[in-house]
Amino acid sequence: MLTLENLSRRFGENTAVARANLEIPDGQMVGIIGRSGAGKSTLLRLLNRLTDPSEGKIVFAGSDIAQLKGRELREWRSDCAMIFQQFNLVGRLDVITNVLTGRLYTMPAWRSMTQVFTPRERAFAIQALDRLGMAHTALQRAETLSGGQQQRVAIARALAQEPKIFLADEPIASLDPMNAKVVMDALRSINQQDGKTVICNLHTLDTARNYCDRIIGMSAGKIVFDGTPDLLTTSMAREIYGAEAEDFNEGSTSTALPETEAVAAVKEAAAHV
Amino acid sequence: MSDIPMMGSSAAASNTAHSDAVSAFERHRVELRASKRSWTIFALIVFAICLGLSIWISNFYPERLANGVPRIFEYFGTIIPELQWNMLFEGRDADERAVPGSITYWYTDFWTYATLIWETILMAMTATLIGAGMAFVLSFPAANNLAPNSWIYWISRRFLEICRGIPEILLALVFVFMIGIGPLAGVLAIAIHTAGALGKLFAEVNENASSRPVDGITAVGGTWPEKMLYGVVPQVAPNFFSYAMLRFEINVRASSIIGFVGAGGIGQELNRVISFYSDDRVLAVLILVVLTVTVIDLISERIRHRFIGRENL
Amino acid sequence: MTTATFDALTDTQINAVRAAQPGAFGTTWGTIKRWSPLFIAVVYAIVSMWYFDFGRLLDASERVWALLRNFVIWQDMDEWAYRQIYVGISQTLAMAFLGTLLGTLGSLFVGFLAAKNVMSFGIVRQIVRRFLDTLRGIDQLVWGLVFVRAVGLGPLAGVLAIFVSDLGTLSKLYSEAIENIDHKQVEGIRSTGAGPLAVIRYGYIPQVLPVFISQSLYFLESNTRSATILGIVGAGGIGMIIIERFRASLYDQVAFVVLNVLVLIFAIDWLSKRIRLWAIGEQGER
Repeated sequence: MLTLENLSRRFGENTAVARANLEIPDGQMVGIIGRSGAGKSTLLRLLNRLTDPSEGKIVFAGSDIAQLKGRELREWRSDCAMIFQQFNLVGRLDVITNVLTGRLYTMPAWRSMTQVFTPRERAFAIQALDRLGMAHTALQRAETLSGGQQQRVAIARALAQEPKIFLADEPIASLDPMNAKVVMDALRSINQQDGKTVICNLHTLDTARNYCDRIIGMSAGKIVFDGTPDLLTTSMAREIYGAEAEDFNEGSTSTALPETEAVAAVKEAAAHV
Repeated sequence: MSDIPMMGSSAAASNTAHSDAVSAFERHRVELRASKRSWTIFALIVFAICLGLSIWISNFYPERLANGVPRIFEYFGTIIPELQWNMLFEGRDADERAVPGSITYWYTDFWTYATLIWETILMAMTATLIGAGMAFVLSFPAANNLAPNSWIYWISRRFLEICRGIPEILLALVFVFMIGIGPLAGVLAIAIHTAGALGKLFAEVNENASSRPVDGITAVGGTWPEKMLYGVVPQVAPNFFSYAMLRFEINVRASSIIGFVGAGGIGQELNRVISFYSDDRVLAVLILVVLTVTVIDLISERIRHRFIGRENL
Repeated sequence: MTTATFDALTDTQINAVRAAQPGAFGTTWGTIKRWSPLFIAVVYAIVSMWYFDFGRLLDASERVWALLRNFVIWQDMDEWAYRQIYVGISQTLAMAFLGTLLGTLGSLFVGFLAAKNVMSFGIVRQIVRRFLDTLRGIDQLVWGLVFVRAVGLGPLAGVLAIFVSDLGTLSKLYSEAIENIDHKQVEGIRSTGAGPLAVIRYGYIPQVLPVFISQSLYFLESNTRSATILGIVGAGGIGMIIIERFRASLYDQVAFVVLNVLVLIFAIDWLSKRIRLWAIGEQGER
């Protein structure tokens, strides 16, 4: 059970997250939706402690995560994997080393500094890659992969951490619809088959509806909606996405490949050639 | 595109206002010229004062120059060897004596010079290696995006500034006093200067590195050294290498002159031949130094290009 | 498919993965290849430390402390001949200024001779370029030593050393700037029937002048630094005072002079940065 109590973060005058209260039971798949700038990213970074909270508590397994320092903080980060919008892989290292960095916390310093990995660690990393269908790229440099492939490597790195919680910050915002589906399916399988908590920032409503058990809507740093997908009505969504989305509909936030005019035009052009 | 604002302004101005525009332009032009002219006069006066002061302070009067210039040519006349075409490639004769006019005679002390040049190159290599090592370690705390906290950043920055602020030959002078005449003093002096100069460049490279991989390593629970090694080093290594090679070229030059204060290398011999003799030995050593520096530059350039070429593939 | 936990991984599983993906497991050769650069560097460092007798550092501690003490404890400060020190510093500045000025004037002429698009005689150009290479190949300090031998101790040798080494470097930079100019402007001037000097004056100079000025300013800055050490070989300026007092074991005075020099160098850095920013700003407005 992950509990947030009055969690806030201010950047100067701006309040990115304002007094967030949440209870997330183990094994749930949670989607956080909202406009860009609503504080979704900050909330996730607060959970991993990449950003320090201004006030409030994050309680997990009886300890206050917001107060952790040094080794305990690193232990928490290794228990709480983060998947980034821009993958945040080390481009010039090969894929397997990138996945092996997921085990840095468990390694003694001399081995991490000399990059000596045990066969067990390597086998584990390959298994993690294999689960994402990326084992064949193990020896390539991460920067040579496409965005979708890099995100799958990043998920493999997260798996190598053996975390209790997976945080995913806009994991599919930089991907095309095909890759987005692969990545979301992978997260769903981690949630359902491994029983791990997955908290995922999403900018599209339909993805959240399709994959998540629970949806949290954020607007201007506040949690304005918290419930199952079927409770999320169109008027509720309009409130989350703000007044400017006058002609709001599900499709406008969708990343699925609809037969839009542009696609139709391309197809038509192709037919003429 | 550019005529759109013109059309707009001419449309805005009526015909009667047209002459006003011309006079305004003229007035503006006169003001501009006046201000420009006063700036030019001011700059010229400053320049003339600087020039006058400099000439006065350094006694750089025409008659001194007129006396000096012929002596320069005289001097260069004395250091040119007297080579004779028919003797040029004569070896040593039966008594192991070189024939005057041959290259062998000119370069009698060739092996002394060669040993010293070898020592010079070794000095440059060792100093570059040690200096680059220090710079590597210090460049992470001296990069403002990576420093663990602000006072470590401040200390490492100031330390690097001091290292590169003191000219290496002054450092060498001090080291020669401390540990005696010999190449060790030169190596230390150049290494410290290299640490300062490379440390600043390395820190700038680090500051331009992407923060994303570093965030990634932070998020898996990595320590600060792990963040640097996994998140930053792979990004910056090629740049570091190429800067270190460039510094090696500079250090070969430096180590060839650092012997002037007794800190080893060919400089010591160069200083000796220039100060005590004014004959063809001066030119002999100078030619070897110039050749060494040129060859090292070429080799290092090759290596850099090959390395960078391979990296870009 | 779920991922087995790390600790539950059996040896058979590890071997199965190794069989499927042999490349992902370190090989001996791979390890050697990865570590050899560092290994060579470390071995080289150790061998060179032995070669250069680094052990002497340990024996020197007494003299180090003595010297450091003398650097820090300043005695008889009213007898330090400050006038000489500050005359030395201003001499250094004067040497840098005159040397750079002469170097700039010389390079204005030589730079055009070495530029491909101005100097059409290949032989002349090649000779000029080789000559410049030679000037550049010899360090400024060596020039200082040579000129001290030729014209005697004092700032004249320093000015000449700065002039000669600047001539080598600035001429090359100038000729490159001249070769990189826009030819349409030159053709425009030539088409009016202008003579060769007029072509240079109106076709080339306006384009290259900003580059020339900024490079000369940059050289003025770097020459101020190098002029401080030219005195060590006797070529005038503050360096001469440093080495004289060092030889006379007046270490406290040396420390004071070096501090002054450092302040001067930092001040020049700051000033030159300001001037360059100002110059760029002014050009931006044009």
